[in-house]
Formats: sequence, structure tokens, C-alpha cells
Amino acid sequence: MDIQTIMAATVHDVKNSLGLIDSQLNDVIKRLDGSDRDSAQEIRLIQLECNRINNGMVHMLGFYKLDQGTFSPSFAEAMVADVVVDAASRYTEMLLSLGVSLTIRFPDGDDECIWYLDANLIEGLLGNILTNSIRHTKSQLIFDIAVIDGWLNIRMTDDGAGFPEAMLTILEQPEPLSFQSGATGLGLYFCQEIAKLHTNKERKGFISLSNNEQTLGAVFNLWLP
Amino acid sequence: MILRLASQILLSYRLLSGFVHFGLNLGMGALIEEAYRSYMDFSDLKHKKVLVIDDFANVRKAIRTMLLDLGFQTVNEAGDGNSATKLMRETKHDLVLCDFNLGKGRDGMRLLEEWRLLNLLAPEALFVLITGETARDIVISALEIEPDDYLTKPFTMEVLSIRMMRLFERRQIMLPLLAALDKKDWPIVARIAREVNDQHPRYRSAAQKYFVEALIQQNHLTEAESFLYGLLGKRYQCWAQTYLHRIELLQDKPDSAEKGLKAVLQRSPNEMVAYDYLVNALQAQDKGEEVQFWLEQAIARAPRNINRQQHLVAVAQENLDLQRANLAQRDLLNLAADTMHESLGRFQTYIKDLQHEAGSCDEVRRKEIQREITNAGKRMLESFPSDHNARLFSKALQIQKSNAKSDDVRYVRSLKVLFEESFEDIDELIPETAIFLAETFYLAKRFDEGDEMVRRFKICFSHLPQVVSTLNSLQAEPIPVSARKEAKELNSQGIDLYRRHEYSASIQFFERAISLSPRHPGIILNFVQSHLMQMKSDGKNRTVIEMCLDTIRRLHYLSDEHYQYERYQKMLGNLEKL
Repeated sequence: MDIQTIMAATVHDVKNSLGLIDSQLNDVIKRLDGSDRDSAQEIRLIQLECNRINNGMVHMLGFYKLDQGTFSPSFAEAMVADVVVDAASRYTEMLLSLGVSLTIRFPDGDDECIWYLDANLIEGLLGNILTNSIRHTKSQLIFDIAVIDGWLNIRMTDDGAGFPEAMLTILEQPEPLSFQSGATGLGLYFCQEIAKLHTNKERKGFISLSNNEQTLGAVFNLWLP
Repeated sequence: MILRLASQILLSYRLLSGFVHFGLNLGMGALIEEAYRSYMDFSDLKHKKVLVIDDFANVRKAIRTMLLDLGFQTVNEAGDGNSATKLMRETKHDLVLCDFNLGKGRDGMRLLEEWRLLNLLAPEALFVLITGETARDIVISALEIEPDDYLTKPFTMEVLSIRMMRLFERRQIMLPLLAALDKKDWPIVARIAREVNDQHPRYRSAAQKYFVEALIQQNHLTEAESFLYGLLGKRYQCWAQTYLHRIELLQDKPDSAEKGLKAVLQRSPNEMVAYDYLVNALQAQDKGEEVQFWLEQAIARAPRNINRQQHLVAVAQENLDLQRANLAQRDLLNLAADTMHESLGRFQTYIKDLQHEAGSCDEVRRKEIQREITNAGKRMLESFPSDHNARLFSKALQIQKSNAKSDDVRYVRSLKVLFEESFEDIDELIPETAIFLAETFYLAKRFDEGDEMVRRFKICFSHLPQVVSTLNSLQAEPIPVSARKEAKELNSQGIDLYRRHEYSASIQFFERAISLSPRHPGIILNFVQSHLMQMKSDGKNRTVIEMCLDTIRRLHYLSDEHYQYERYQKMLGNLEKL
């Protein structure tokens, strides 16, 4: 059995276990909701960590496949709103429970925007970003979908304390992965790689991070050509 | 434009009848109900029947609960393919949610394939395949048979509700197009596809594909090309580029299609249909080895496609890559296990092809083949335990495998019993078994019994000309494939020498060919004819004439329908006159 099959099987097993934990935690939350909201919220945060483990497994397998040249995206036209909704819908219960609102806006008025992308990969990428943002935002998450200068821009803004300084420049470092601080930047690095797989003539997708000057919240931008 | 900001979790979304906003929450709040009402009468769900198939009862229960919360009232469950099929026969279901992996037995993909063939799925019914997201090769294989949608595990109620809404909307919009497609009414398909393309951006891509397909089917190739160039002018789209090369194939430009499709696959290795067109382009140019290479590439991407595996078997056999052909047959048997593709003939053909390979491979592989033959024989009996054909084939296989001497009492008795049993329930015999039985007697050098079998089987399969022809060939050359090839080569060389009037030299080649293939009419008649010509110059030779008569009499089995019969009769007459 080759190493990719072993890794895929391991990821599959771990994901199954995480799915089971998640479903059992949901049962506990159902029992607690109403009687002990604080404990229910704590469990939501545990579920969020389960999501992070899940993402970590997906990243590991994804990076291995990228390294081996066996990672092949499937591009097709998709309605961008559908992709964002699909990513967000996995977190609805959690957002609701934590009192976080999620809004999708179309600043240029095109709510039927269609783009050529790998919908599964972008859904995963956005889910990845959501997992982190939910932990750091106070009360809201906003997606803005627009086409700017021939690029699709999906922007997610939260109203938390913003990215730490070291994080803002992490993608520009020659070695973006770091074990010095608490966050390795692995998730962002993976997002960057996924974005880069999207190309159109000379253009290549990318991500960028910033903090909102007024609200100071974190701003994540995905640009796809 | 800000569509709407609202308290709690609110997503803005366009559904069938304009803008609606719905909140995603587990309790099916007012907003989500509003969204449902806007695209279809909410009470509709009550009347829709759903079937959930998963081998784990707790997963079925969880999905069922979600569906009941969504408003469905009839949600049936099945834990495996057989009970699901039974439920589908009894009740017309509008929606099927089926896990890919159903434990032992056929998987969700094969189930969909089977139900389509058996017409158990109504045209308006929806089939959703559920898969684990880590196995992309499974996803790619599964998507090839085009379920209406697929969901990756694990999913929440919100994910399910959104997908259901989109799915029902899609079906409602696409149904007239699918109906026209079913009737192959291409002008209507083109018209509706254009309408969908203009009115429903979400389904634009699917509509464009149907539109181009309809143009191609009507042979409006130039129009299809210019539509595709229009799309590609805006930006590269893999499917559009693939279709352009498909049109090149139809315009008899396989070399150009080949180059273009290779470029498509370099960019998008998951575009499975591009592999098929590339294989067609290569076949049109007789590039057998490349055909095999690209089929193998496609199979590595989507290993569960049975048609491609079958194609690989045929191509590898043509390329004389018997080992690859047999490996593909082994994969095919595994894929076919417990599905409608599983057949006795498939097992028997595999075993016979393994035997043929064993005649021309090295010792290591030969040992592997012996083990594989035993294994395949065992599996055949397990899969078809009470089948007459499986039993007879298995007995014949045992006889062929035994190294007993031709006068061994037990061996002789087994052959006698097998000969008698072969004609019991002769109407139930399948061609593969019949041919294998006759072959067993020829290999045991029991030519009279072999000929008798061929005679009776030819009557039995007279409605199948291909089988009759195979039986004729077997009778003429009851030897392994490798020996058959060698004899053919020697015969060709003999013919060349004969044409150059070098009769003495040609006789030597025909003689060697006969030693390998002692009953072949062509070779025997060439051998005799060469001697007759040689005698014209050297004069009559009694010993040679006797030897020629002995040889030609081996063809007594030839029926008067055989294309060499007249030549045989004439030459026999000439010899007897001498």
C-alpha cells in the first residue's frame, strides 16, 4: 500500500471519529441548551477545535498530494454565492449559538456572479478561514463578493481585534510556516496554494490579509483570476 | 448593493422566484420556511417520498431526522442494495439519498446504474450520492455516472436543506430539457438550453453543454464551433476546449484532436471525457500502444469505470500485452462483484485468458497465474454455487490442471463422466462453458469426443454465428495461442516460398507448422499441395503419397459448409487417383 493511500485512510478514519465526536457534542448541547448556556457555548468552542483538527488533516493530505503532483483541481463555472453559502452553511448552528451574524453582500450589485473555479476547493478554503474567524470575531462576519479589474474578489471581514502584526506579513516570508509562535500559518499557506492553482492566462490567484483601519477587524481577501 | 442585513445568521440568496432571504438554523425558523414556500409549495414536500440508503443504522437515522425536520413525511430506509432495490420496486420514490459505500455488495454508484437500466427511477426522481471527501478518485468515478448531486460527509442539516432546495429548483428548471433529451429531440433541446442559458445563470454551464451537444447531434458543427470559440474567447473553459477537439474528431482530423486533447489533459487531468476522445483519436490513427497508455491514465483517475476497463482488456490483448489485459480483467471481476455486471462468462473468459498468457510468460508469472486461476475458479463457484455451467467448467478445469497420464484410470473416468454430463441440460450451456469443454477434450487428445462436442454445440448455438465460428477454429486448431501464433508464422513463410516455386523448402515450413497445429485445414492443404507440385517435377513417390493421404484424412471433420471443404475434396480426390 502506498503512502498516499495510507494517509488518505488515516485522514478518513480521523474525520469519521471527529464526525462522531461532533454529533455526540451536538446531543450534549441539545440537552444543555436552555439550562446551561455557558457550558453549551464552551462545547461549541470544542467543536470549533474539532473543525481545526479536521482542516489540519485535509491540509496534510492536500500538501502531500501537491508535493507528489497528484493534486488535481476540477474547474467549472459556479455561482459564487452558492460556493460561499455552502461554506457558511456548515457553521450556521455554531454561529447562531455564539451569537455571530453572517452576511453576504454584493457591492457591485451582481448577486448572480458566475466564476470559473474549483467549487470544492474554494468551499474548503472559505470553511478554513471561517473556522479561524469565528474564534476571533465579536459579533459579525461579512462576505463581500465583487468582480474588480477582471478578478473575482471574495472578502471576509470580522469585527474582532484583527490579525496580529506577525500574521499580516506571514505570507510574504520566504518560509511562511513557523513554529515560533502559537499559530503556524499552515492554514493560510494552504489557502494560498489553493488560490494559486486558479490561473487565467498570466494571472494566478492569491490571498491577502489586512486589518480594517476603522473597525480594526481582520480582513481576508481571496483574489481569483 | 447590500441585499439585506439582518439579525442573527442571515444569508441572501436568489431562488426561483426572485430574491428571498433565509436564515439557516436548525430549528427550521420562519425564514427558511419562507424560502421554501417561495420556490415551491411547501406542502409539496409532504407528498414526496424519500429513500435513505446507508449501511450504518445511526447514519440513516440522523439523515432521516433531518429530512423529517425539513418537512418530508415519508422517509424510508434501507441498509443495503438488495433491500433498497426491493423498496424501489414497491414504491415510487421522488428522492434517494444513497451512501457510496454500502459495505458488502454493490455500492451506491452501481445501484444507480442498475436502477436506471431497470427503469426503477422515474425521470423526475432525484438521486443524491453521499461520499467521504478524502477519496477523490471515488468522487471522480462516481460523478462519471452523473448522479443528480453528491454530498460530502459529514454534512449538517443546513447543508442538506440548501442542497435540497437547489436540487429541486434545478430539476424543475431542467425537466423540460431532460424530457427533450430523452426523446433525442435535438432542436427542442437546443431551444430550451438557450432559454436556460439566458434566464438561469446558475445552470448556464450545464445549459451551454446541452446546447453544443444538440448542435453536434444535428451535425451543425460550424455553428457549434463558433459558439465554443465565443466562450473560449472570454476565458479558457476545459469542457469547451474538449468539445472543440471532439468536433475535430468528427471532421476527421484525429491528429489535431490528439494534440489538443493532450494539452487539455495536461491542464485538467480530471476531465475524464477528454481521455475518451483522445483514445478515439489515437485509435483512428492506429496508435495501439498509446491507446493503452491513455486508457491506463484514465483508469488511474477514475478506477471504477467498467466500460473503460473492458476497453483496456481488448486493447491490451490487441497489443499482445496479455499480462496487462489479465490484470484489467481481474480489476473488472472485482468491480463487477455483486453487481449486474457479474457474470459466469466473465469468470470463464478470465480463466481462459490466464491460461493463454501462461503459455508465453516466465516461470514467476506462470506460478502467479496458477494461483490466480485457482482463486478465480473458487470465486466463480462461490458466486454461482448452483449453476450447471460453473460446475462443468470447474470439472473441466480440474481435468486440464491434472498432469495425469492419458491412460490413468481415474483420469479416463473423469473425462467419460464430463463428456456425458456435457450433454445433460445442453440448452442451459453458455458459449464460454461449451467452448471450454470441447477444448478440454482436444487438449487431452480425445479428438473424436472433441469433434462430437463441437458438432452438437454448433447445433445448439446455431443462432450465434460468432460462437459457431469459434468452435470451428477450435476444432481446426485445438492448441494453445502461443503455438497457434508460431504455426501461423511458419505457414506464412511456407506460402511465400511456394509462391516462389521453392516447393521443397516450403514443405519444410509447412511440416513444422503441422507439428504444432496438426488439424489446421489451411496448413495441411498447403503441405499436400506443395508435395503434389514437387512430385510434378520429381515424379510420383508412393511413400509421399501415402503420407499425404494420412495427413489430409485428419480433415475428415470438415463440414461441407467450411470454406476449405471444396479444396479438401478436390485434393483428396487427386491424391486417391495417384
